[in-house]
Amino acid sequence: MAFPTTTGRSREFLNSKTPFYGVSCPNIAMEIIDRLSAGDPEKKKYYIRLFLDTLEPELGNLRGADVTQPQEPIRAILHKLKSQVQTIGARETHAIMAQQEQEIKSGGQIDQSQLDETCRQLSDLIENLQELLK
Amino acid sequence: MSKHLKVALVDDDIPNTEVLRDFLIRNGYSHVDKYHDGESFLESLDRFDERAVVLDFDLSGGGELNGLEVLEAIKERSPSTHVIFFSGQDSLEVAVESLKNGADDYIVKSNAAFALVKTSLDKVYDIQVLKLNERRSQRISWIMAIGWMATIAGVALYFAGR
Repeated sequence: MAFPTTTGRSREFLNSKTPFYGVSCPNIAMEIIDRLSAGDPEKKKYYIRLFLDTLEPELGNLRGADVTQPQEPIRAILHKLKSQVQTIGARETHAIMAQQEQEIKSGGQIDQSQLDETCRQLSDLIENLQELLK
Repeated sequence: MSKHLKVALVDDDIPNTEVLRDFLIRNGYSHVDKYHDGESFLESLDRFDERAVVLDFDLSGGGELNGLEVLEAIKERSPSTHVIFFSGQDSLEVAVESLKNGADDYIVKSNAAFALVKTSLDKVYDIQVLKLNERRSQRISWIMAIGWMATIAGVALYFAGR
């Protein structure tokens, strides 16, 4: 199974037979994008740029968010990015974001370490997408 | 095969809307409009709008109205318009509310969601084709009835004149 990831960490993660504890990397499987671009690398790059245009500024917003304040703005960003991350095929990141969104929606709160983990996952995902553009 | 069903996508998620639009065009829906907020879509809505609408619930990134409010406005202005709710909210309440307010389907955004939207649109397309065929056969029946009446009247006049 070919994964369109090119960074060293991604390769290490994907090639490992046992779960890659400690350093996890967003595992991207762009089935939808691959199918739609139908082997056209330019079209694929166009889709990737579309997603990056939203992911990059929203990652900045998430990094600047204050978990001690009401978390509705964080929930809104998580909700927005969740679908995009899913289309790209980053299932692990999607699951984390969905869980955190649900937590806030049901009246709970996420802490700084949870938010940092999401930001780290998103940052890795963006890095992987940028690699694909090269 | 190109399907003559116009589709409107109403979603504030710009990249996913673009991808979904391309997916639908690839699957035969040649006319797909995009709107990133409910307000601009409602401005474009006609009294007898024949478009099928794929409508997101959370439109907070675009405008003031949410999907349920847009659905209500659509059904008020153009009751026959088909609406497919397409939402990241895996919420039973929103699903029930949308179906109660006249949505044809409720699809939760997932890996298989684009294919489900297409399947739902195919059903709407089939309904529209059936309705069109029904209207056509009704029109043909009327024309035939008028033809028969004219023939009978002509024959009656002919014999009356003899």
